[in-house]
Amino acid sequence: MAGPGDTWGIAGPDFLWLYAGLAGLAIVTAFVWRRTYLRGPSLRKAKDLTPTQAALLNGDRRLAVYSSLAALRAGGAVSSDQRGTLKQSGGLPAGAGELDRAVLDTARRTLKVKNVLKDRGVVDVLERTEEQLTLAGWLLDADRRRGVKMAAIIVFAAVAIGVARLVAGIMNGRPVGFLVLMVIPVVIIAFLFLRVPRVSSNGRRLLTRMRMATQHLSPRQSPSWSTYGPEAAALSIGLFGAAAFFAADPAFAAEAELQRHVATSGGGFSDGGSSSWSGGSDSGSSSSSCSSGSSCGGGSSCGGGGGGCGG
Amino acid sequence: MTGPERGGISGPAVGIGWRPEIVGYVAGLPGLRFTEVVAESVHLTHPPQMLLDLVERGVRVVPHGVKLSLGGADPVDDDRAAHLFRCAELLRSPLVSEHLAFVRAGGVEAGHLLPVPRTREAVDAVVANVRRTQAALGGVTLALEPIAALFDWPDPELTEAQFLTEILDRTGCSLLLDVANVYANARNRGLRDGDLLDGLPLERIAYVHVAGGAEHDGFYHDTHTDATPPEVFDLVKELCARARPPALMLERDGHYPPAAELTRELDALCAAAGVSRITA
Repeated sequence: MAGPGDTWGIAGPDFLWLYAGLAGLAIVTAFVWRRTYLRGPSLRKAKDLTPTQAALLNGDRRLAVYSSLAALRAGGAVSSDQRGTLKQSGGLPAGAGELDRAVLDTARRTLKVKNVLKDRGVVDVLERTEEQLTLAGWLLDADRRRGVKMAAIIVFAAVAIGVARLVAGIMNGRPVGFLVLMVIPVVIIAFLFLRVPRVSSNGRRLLTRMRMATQHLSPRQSPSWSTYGPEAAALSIGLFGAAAFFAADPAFAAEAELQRHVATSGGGFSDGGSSSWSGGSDSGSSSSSCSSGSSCGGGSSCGGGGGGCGG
Repeated sequence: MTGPERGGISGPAVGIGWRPEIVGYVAGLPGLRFTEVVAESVHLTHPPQMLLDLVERGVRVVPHGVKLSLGGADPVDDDRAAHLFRCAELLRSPLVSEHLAFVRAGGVEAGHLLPVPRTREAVDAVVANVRRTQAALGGVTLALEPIAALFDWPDPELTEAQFLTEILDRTGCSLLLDVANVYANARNRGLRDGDLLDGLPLERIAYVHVAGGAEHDGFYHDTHTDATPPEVFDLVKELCARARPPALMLERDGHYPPAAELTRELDALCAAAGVSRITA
């Protein structure tokens, strides 16, 4: 109960309990808020992505170009020599996409994969595809990104209250050790909430769904590109990352100096979060693991025993 | 296989080997009733989901061993035999198959299927190994596949047909006949294709392998990585005319061609066996 000299008229241990509840509530609210902005379009109605779209969602522009190269390789349209110089060795494969056309065109002129990535024509197609993905909601647009970040404000408010109490407690000459221990994880969580993934949660789920449906294209199977054809080869790269290229066509992948670790999902199709950005995208789960820290049980129960340790 | 009780199935079942590189193609075959998986590639605790899906669909999946070394002088490894049995259990197959060959001797792996000398002593050794395997298989039928040999051991005491028949008779095993081997052996020894079918216990066939090959330096190699030549399909026709096998399988182990070519080969196999296509 409140006694004379208590900061703000609330006893230290009481405040610790109160603060734990408040911070917990703020984190849960922020989490739910964040999730609504992260969700993305309905999966049920979603159609499967094209290989280029899958590559952009799963990885980056480089992976999209690799997936087109896979289609061109499977269709016998490009080859390379030992110095990694690209050569056109056949016509555009049947069913080739817009990016395949642009990549073949560029490869013929610029001769190196790394130059293909810089070509205006290729970049145009990639930008347009990214816009489509954003419009559809698989990639997060500026509004949604802002919405996701706004969630952090709630947690920062809880931080502010904690800090205010700390200052008041110190000015009041009270011990604040346990409160400090409790505020620190809340600060960390608040900063984690500032991280915004590129891809919506349902975008990641769509990739997982597509991987499940195309297990035969996983690099684990060393899928035969000649049997499955160019589009499947491109999809294999888009969904499973550049490592699939090395599994199916190691000589070309090495000669053309492809980077093996673009969006490599550890060879497994079971894990959804597969690429370089997954650290950011998974802040949902990282915040939940932190929230075990936020119930900072340690601190609050000590508060009870310690007496007047909460500022 | 459907075995002797062919239960309402009009003709031989036709399939293609389930190999990792083409599993998407195999799964997409609407008329597929049976396939074969290399037993050593099946991870028992993490079996491939796509394989289990086929079993669920009612496709018979036969585990095919390649490393048991039934023809070796050493007793077969009980762990390998047990693996074969557990594969059959997992895939609910009443049948498994292995080669009549040896792949290791004195602990050294040959990395190849090597022919067994056709002597009475070798028959005894093979029979002992087969019985040991059968004990581990707990009632699952074992089909034995004679291999293609580019050479023979000197001074055989038995003909190939006698050697095979004796082993099958003494063990009660079924026969997995590789028609492409028969063709290769006939051609490399200058025999008429049909000759090597004579004397073989055709009524014991569990299923048949059909594969392609290529000629190098005057020898026909049973490569499994080339298209099946028309002569092999002719031999399938002749075989089916003599004794219809319960099932036939296209065995492709590498250099996988475009799906359309596999489809053409499967259609040709169905035509040779006189059954309707499984590809549509």
